[in-house]
Amino acid sequence: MSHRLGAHPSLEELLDHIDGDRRAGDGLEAHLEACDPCRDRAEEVRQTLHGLSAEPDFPDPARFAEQRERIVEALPPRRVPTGGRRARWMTTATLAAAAVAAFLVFRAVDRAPPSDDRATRSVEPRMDVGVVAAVEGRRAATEAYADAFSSSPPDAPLGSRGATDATFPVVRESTPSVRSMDEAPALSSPLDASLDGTALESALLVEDFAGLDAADREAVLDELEGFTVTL
Amino acid sequence: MEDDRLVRRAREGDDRAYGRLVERHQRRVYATLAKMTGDGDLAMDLTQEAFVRAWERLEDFEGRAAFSTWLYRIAVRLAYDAMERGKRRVAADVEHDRPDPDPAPDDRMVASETALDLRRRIETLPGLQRAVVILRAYDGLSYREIAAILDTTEGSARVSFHHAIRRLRTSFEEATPE
Repeated sequence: MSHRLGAHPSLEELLDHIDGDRRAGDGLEAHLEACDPCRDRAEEVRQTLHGLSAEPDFPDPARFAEQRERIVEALPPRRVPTGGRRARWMTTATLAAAAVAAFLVFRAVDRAPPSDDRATRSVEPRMDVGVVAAVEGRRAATEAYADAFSSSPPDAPLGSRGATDATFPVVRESTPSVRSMDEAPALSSPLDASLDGTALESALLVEDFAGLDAADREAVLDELEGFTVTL
Repeated sequence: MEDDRLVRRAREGDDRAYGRLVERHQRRVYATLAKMTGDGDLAMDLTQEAFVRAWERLEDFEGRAAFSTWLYRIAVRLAYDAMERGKRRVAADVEHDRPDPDPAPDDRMVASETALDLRRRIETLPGLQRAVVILRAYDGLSYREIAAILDTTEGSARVSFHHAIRRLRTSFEEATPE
């Protein structure tokens, strides 16, 4: 709607004009130049807008910092949607299963087969049985790893073990590739880093898996069906 | 881009990433709420509530609009609710604290649009107009952005803004002696 030359502009037209909106057209500008009351009115509207744009009184920055801490502390646990939880579980489960499967194979080579032969199934587990074994064996693997871990040098931080940690007695020179798990967990496999984190997390994943409803568990198992590990 | 990355991490439960989001938007959210409510302490409370609520509803954020737009929507609606619950300053405060009815001529321009006077007049506006006028005049948002925040149309946002300015101007003109 363009302004009719000669007519006093409405407040809306003034606002649009101040906004830089060209709806009012060039006629408005000419009118304001010629009409003192309208020009004064436009200036008053500008002042109102200017006042509205003024910053409020901000509290001391320390209050904002304290508020941030309160906000983070008040955050409830995230309720991840079913799909998200499933996806997250599968992604981490895939890594964990790879690491744990390798660990189980390593252990099986060194030790006599444990009474529960499900924990030493092939690294290419059959379908659902192998996957369930991986899930259930994960807890056993985690506990065994934790036991071995606890016998490690006290100054070796968790998660730092591996071939890249020069301070950790990774591989004894005289030790062949097969080592006894009775020794410190001086694993030198590249899977070390993932095993550290995922072995511990895998214990939680067992709980997560158990916490899924039946439909989600089936979906997870379906996704892991045919999962294989290549060493 | 930074917000997108932080939101993704926050969705996975990373509260430190969310803390970074809070840091990025906290002041602006507070400022808008302070302008709307006219109450700094209330604005701080609402700011905290807005961020906690946003965390709880992160799955609802689809990423089609900016995170700040979505966050503003939550914050502004909280302000609405607060005003509905009667936490706003009532119009009577404006009645009791009118500016000097007979200011000296050289003080008239200063008294005419003092920040305090304008703030009180803002508080007499209906909730929607108050939100629109603050989001437009203070936050500098476009009518499209305002419409997204308030879940309305651009046309409605524009009309609300005009009405709000008209009410502010009218209340000022009524209070200003001839």
